[in-house]
Parts: sequence; C-alpha cells; structure tokens
Amino acid sequence: MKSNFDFSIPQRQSLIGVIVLFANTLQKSVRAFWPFILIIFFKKESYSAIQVYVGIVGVILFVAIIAFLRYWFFKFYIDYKLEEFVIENGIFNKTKTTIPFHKIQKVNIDQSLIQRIFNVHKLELDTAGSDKKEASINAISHEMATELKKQLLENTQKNSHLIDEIIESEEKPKSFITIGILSLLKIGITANYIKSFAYIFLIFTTVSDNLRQIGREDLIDDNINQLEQIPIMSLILWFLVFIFTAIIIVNLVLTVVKYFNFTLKKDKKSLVLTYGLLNIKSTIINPEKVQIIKLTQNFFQKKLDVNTIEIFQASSDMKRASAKDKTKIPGCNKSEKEQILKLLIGKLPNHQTTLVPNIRKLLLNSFFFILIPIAIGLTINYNFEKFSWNEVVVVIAIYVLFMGTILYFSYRNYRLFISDEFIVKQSGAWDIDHEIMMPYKIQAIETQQFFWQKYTDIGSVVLYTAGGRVSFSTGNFTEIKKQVNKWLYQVEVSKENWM
Amino acid sequence: MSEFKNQTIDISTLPKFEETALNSLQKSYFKVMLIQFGIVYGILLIGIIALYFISIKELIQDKIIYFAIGWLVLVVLNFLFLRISFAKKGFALREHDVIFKSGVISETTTIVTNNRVQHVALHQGMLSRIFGLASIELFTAGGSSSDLKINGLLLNDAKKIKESVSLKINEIASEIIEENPIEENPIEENQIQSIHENNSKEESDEI
Repeated sequence: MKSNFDFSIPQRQSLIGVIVLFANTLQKSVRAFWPFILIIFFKKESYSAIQVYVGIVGVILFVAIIAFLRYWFFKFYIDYKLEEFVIENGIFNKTKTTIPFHKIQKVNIDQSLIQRIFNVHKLELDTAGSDKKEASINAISHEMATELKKQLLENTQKNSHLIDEIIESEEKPKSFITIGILSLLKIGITANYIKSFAYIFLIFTTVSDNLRQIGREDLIDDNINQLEQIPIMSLILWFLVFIFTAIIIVNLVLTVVKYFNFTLKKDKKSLVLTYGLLNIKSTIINPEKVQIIKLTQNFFQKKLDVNTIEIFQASSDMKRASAKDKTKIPGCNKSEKEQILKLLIGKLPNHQTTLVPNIRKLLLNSFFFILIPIAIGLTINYNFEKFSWNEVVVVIAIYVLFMGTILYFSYRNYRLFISDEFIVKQSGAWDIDHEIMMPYKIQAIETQQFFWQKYTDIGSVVLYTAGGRVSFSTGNFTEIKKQVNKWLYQVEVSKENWM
Repeated sequence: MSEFKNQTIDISTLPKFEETALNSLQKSYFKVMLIQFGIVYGILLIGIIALYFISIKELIQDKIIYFAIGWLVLVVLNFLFLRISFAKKGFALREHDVIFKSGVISETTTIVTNNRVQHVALHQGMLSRIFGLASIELFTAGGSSSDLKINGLLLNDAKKIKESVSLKINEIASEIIEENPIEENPIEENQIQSIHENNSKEESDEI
C-alpha cells in the first residue's frame, strides 16, 4: 500500500483541528483568568450591552487568532536520515522537539470528548527517557494518525527489538478491566472527603477574597446578616447539611471527570491505563517497576465492594523516588482487584507472621493527642474564662470519644504481615490501607530504637524502596531484627530485577 | 526467578546483623569534630564578647553574664553529646552489605546491601585532609534518607571500600546484561554508564 502522506516534509494538523486548539486555548485561558472574569461579573458599575458584546467578541477573536497561529506554526515530520521524529511549534518562542526513533516506546492514539465531536485524533509518543509525554499532536485525522504511527513503528523496528512487543500489542489491544460509572459514583460518595472540603474551602476563600478586593463586601455581609437571624442550632444543622452535600457533589464531579471511562488494557508485559472525560490521560505501568501497591478501603467502601489501588513505581530517570510516579486506580471491585494484583505481583499476598504494635503505642498516642491538647485547652480557658465548666466538660467528652475511637482503631489496624514473598503493612483508622511490597525490592533497611525502649524490647523498622518507604514502629524488636536478617538475605541472594 | 522461591528460609541460621562486630571511627576524626566544634563555639564567644564591648546601654552589659553562662552550659552539653555520639558510631562491612550504626537518643542502624548501591562517592573535607581522613557515601534508589554516609575513615580504607563496592556494582550490572539481553532497554544502559561515570569521579567538599 502506498502511503498517502509524505512525512519527510513538514506536515500540519487537520484544519478542523483549529477548533480543538481553540477550545483548548479557551479552556486554558478561562482556567488561568477565572478570578478576573469573576471580578468583571460582580463589578458595581454595569456595562452597556454593546460593551459586553464587544468584549466577548474581542476575547473570542483573540483566542481564535492564537489558536490559528498555534495551528499554523505546529509542524511535524520524520527525519529519515537522522532517524528522528521532529515537532516544531511555538508562535514567538520556537521550540523544536526531536525524538530519536530508538527512544520511542509506544505510540498512542486517543480521543477526548471535544476531539470526538470533530472526529480528530490525538497522537502521543511515550519515550523511554521520562514518564512525561514528550510529544503529542493534538488534532489529526484518523488516516494520518494511523499512517504516522505505522511509519514511526516501522522505522523504529530497524533500530530496536522493543518494537516486536509494541506491534504485537497494538494489533490487539485487549481491554481487560473497565471501571464503570457506577463504581466511580460509589467512590465519589465514599472517599476524599477531606480533599473535597479543602477544595470547597479554597474556592470559597478565593471568591470572597476577590469580592472584597473589588469592593463588593456587601454581598458577603448581606448574606451573613441574613444568616444571623436564623436560630443557632438550625444554622449549624443547615451548615452541616450544606457542607456535606457540597462535598459529595464536588467529590462526584471531580471523580467522574477525572476517571471517566477508566480502562485497563493488558499488553504483553505491562498495563496501560486510559481515563478522563475532558483530557484523556494514558499511563503505562510496568510490573517490574512497581515498588509498592497500596489498597485503600473504608467501611462504606467495603459494603459497596469498591477498592482504590495506588501503584508506586520507581522513577524512570535514575533520580530519586518521588510522589509523581504514583498511579491511582479508583473503584474496582474485589475480583478486579485480585486480577490487577495477580498481574502486577504474580499472586495474592498471604502471610505467615504478623507483627503487632506494643500497647505503649496506644498509650503514647493517647498522651500526645488526647492529654496534651486537653491540658493546653484547659490552660487557655482558665486564663480567658470564655466557657463555663459545663460546656468545657461536654467539649472534652466529645473530643475524647472522637479521638479515642480514632486512636483505638488505628492502633488495632496497625499490623505488619510478613511472608517469604510479601510484606504487607496495614494501617489507618477509617480508610484502611494495605501497602504491599516484595522483599527483593528493598533498597535499604533502617532499624531504630530509643534508649529507653531497650528494656521493653521495642523498636521500629523502615524499609526503603525506589518508590517510597514503609515503616513499622513500636514492635517487638527481637522479632523485627529476625525479619530484617531474613530480608537482607532475600535481597542479597535475589537475582530479580527490582526495576 | 524461582530459584529461591520455594525454599524454606530458616531464619535462626541466618547471619545476624545485630551481632556483627562494629568498627569504631578513627580516633583522629574526633579531633576533626572537636575542631569544628571549637570553631562554631569560638565564633559564638567572639560574638558575645563583641556584644559586651559594642553595646553602650548598661542593660545588655548587665545581662552579659547570662549569655556567658548559657554559652558554657551549651559547650559542656554539646561536648558530652559529641563524645557519646562519637562513641556510639560504628560501621561494619560484610560480604554483601554495609552496616552503619549511630545515634545517642535514638539508636539507628542503616543497612545497605551492595547489590542495591547505585553509586559511591568519596568525600574529603579540608580538615579531614589534614588528618588523612575521608568519608564514604553509598547512594541507593531509596531516596536521600536511605543513603548511607560513613565519616572518619582512613583515606586508604575509604578508597578500598569504594573500590570493593564499585566492583560489586559493575559485576551485578554486567550480570544483568548477560542474563537477559532482550529485556535490556536504553535506560539500563544509561544507568550502567552513569555508574561507571560516577565511579570514576571522586568528589571532595568543604566542611
């Protein structure tokens, strides 16, 4: 078959791609300037209709011109001589990205929502050098995308043996697990309360700050005045209801937008994840590079049969471990979880030995998180005499009950399960985490003991991997040392690739 | 891969890291620590004296005695701490790993196995050079807190350690290539190259 495209001469994207770029630019500008937009809307002086229309048309025209220029200056071609794929872009600052063929590991073709509407495709190159997508072309036709992919892969083949894998996997991208909207909704209702609360808080403060700056405090003050007329108890109740619904709505929206249509595809050796509603993201997980797998589940999620899995990989550039190499799989059920685990670590972890924390951990935590805060609170109240004794007793009782429950459960859930092949750390009070790692992935071990712990034979251990660390404290030190010796032995005889 | 998987490991027969005899640091390293200690506290003392002469107000001149007492207390405490922490530090080189123990209040033992070391650095500060000392730092992929640094080694010993660990790294690296040449990808090649580069690089820093 003769190629319809000659990639040796610079090519532009599809003309219809301008619209995609336009949407893209518009989205970015709105995201960057939304406080300004808000200010304009709430400003006291009103604008005439003409001003408004001119403004809107002006902005759209401006964005459109930028989008067109971005389209015009974006060119890509294959340099067959130097065996490179080249992308040139930039309106004022010209950037030229060259990717040698032998570095190309994977060529992805994807479509986001907007791209789907205009029937254009996104082509991304994964390289061996970094986890970032080094090159992506946002809007090309399907024929061009497939042809370019073919060309790239054919040429790569000459240089690298890796390509066998690539072509094989490209032919039948077998879908392995798809996480449906229902699971996402379940996760949305049951997880990330604190994160969403922070998000709402942030939005609220930014908005009120901006309103203040443009002299519209009256908007806030009016509302607060109105609120003050409502009885205090129902106010609190309404506030709680409001916050709770807001959190859940934000949670749901965030989860669905971020993880929409989450699919796991199984390649020969690795896992490919694709997800997202507005921006489609794809990530490759190579089981060899996985260092720690973290399963999270709370009580509700257990009842609804959903798990969150986080996968920590070794950084690909030989630098240090960072949180960026973390991948999250939201909302899979038990059998899906087991399938993923089997694919990543071969089998499900079992355990032979269990390390439990000493009761002193609970006592110490109670001292720091219950006694000391109460003492501080009492001292402050004693000096200022703001609350009566009755109120203080009620507050303390609630605090002790709340904190005590959390501490008790986090103590009871704190476990280290050890087998010859796995180390699993369980922790958490509400969200219960299981961190799974394998002894041969250990980079360094640290044991720690305070001098007063010598008499009670208590100590801690920290296991460092290339994807983070796992620590266990206040355990039986003799047992810990025994395990450390075993782990050292396992690391030292291991011939397996830790990455 | 399945070489040791089904094998039962009898933990009690394994060599025990906690029973390994530790070498203490070179005595002359304590002198280095003392000199550094002296410099810091000397500067502090000069500061206090300067304060006495510069300040015109009686207020500070009256209080200067407290500064001096504070300084003395700090010197004594810190000296004791230094002394104990020096005595507590120890290291051992085993066939397959390096052990380093330190800490006064909390005793920390760090163990890095030779087959996980990414590269080795040899540092020699200005003061250490006078006493013929050097320090060795073993880097792993486990993040900066898991790097193992041993101060106060004789320069020759440090060089020997560096050589033996580097040798081990290269051995392992070449083994990996031989064993599975197909799985080899450009990253690992780079990695090995960088190990070589790093091995041939000797660093020295100022204290």
